[in-house]
Amino acid sequence: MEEETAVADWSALPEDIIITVMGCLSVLGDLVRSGAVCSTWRDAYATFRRLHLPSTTAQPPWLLYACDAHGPASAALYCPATGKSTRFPTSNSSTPSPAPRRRSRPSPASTTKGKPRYRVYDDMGYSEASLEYSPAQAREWVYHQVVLSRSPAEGSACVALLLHRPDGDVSFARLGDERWTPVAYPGQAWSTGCRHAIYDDADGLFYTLRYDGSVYAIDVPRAAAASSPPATREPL
Amino acid sequence: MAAAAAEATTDGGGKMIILISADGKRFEVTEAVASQSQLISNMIEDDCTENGVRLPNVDGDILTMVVDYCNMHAGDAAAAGDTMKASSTEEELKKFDAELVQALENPVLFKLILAANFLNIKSLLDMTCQRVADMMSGKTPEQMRETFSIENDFTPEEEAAIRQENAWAFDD
Repeated sequence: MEEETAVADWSALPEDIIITVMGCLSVLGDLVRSGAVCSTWRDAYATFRRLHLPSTTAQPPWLLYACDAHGPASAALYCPATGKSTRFPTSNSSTPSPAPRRRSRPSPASTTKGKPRYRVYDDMGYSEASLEYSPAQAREWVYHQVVLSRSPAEGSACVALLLHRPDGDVSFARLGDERWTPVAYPGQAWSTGCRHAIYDDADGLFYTLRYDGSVYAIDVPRAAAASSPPATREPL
Repeated sequence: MAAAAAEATTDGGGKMIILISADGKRFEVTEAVASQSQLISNMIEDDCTENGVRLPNVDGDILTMVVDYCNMHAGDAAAAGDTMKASSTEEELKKFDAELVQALENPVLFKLILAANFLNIKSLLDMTCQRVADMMSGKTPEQMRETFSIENDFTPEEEAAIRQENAWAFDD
């Protein structure tokens, strides 16, 4: 069976097979490096990333985090299984970021016309009084996640960022605010599809992660200053 | 029909099917064994296996391996009427798979992947793809090219840009 009849042309492997192979790689770095082998593998790698395909094998979990020691422009991946940690830049134009991530500053929230984007409440047609939820109900119906910038004990210095159910819209409020301020992403009517958010103490920004892998920074003081009161709600 | 007569059922009741490789080698297998290939399973459903199934993409030596694999794995699927050595235990199967996959090297591995893909045998395809992934594990792009005899068709600029984009993965 060792006859060398034809030389195997691995670069000519059909894309779906290369993608299957890529899904079998258990180390993130191997996957990235496999995309640097040749142009057909590169294309397959791009497809793999674009489709957000999962790894089929037991890929150990990775934790994405940022910390003071790494500075504001860098995030890191840590793999508890291997103890390996990898840093990469997340930020702006001068340093290229990993393929699927981008970061930009959403323009300050402002809706004065049309329906407010705080749709979780406004489109329901209920009176405000009927929208008081118990904490358990709020957790189940209203939001996916709440992120606080600091301890609520510090009063209005504490900003809460909310990722709403069901669509992952983002809004924020300072402690004591009467209303939530919706956040709009640049070029979009609102900020939908958010899955996760963190607050970075070092630069005072909230970071949100969208379902498509993009990351947005939200500068709350700037956003709030540009439209006060935070959100003007249209009467229903 | 003479051909139909040749497909006499075995004592267990499983119909036999003839697979014909690119170089004309013939393999006689039960339907249960053959239908692990989704391609052939569909052909069986459509009733077009009477005169043997020609597989112009698959060499005889590769088809031998595929048939071995399918024979081995037909155990549980075709509990009844299987003429091969009863049902292989799970351990035997694992051992068989491990040995098969370990023995695979370029270019047999390459051909076996294409065959598994063409015949649409998912478990075999997964197993062989995993083998390729294992061969890539921990390697730099240069070493991957070497392993698979792939030519670097990037311009130096393109390659630099790719490395730059995810520099962390190219540290060592």
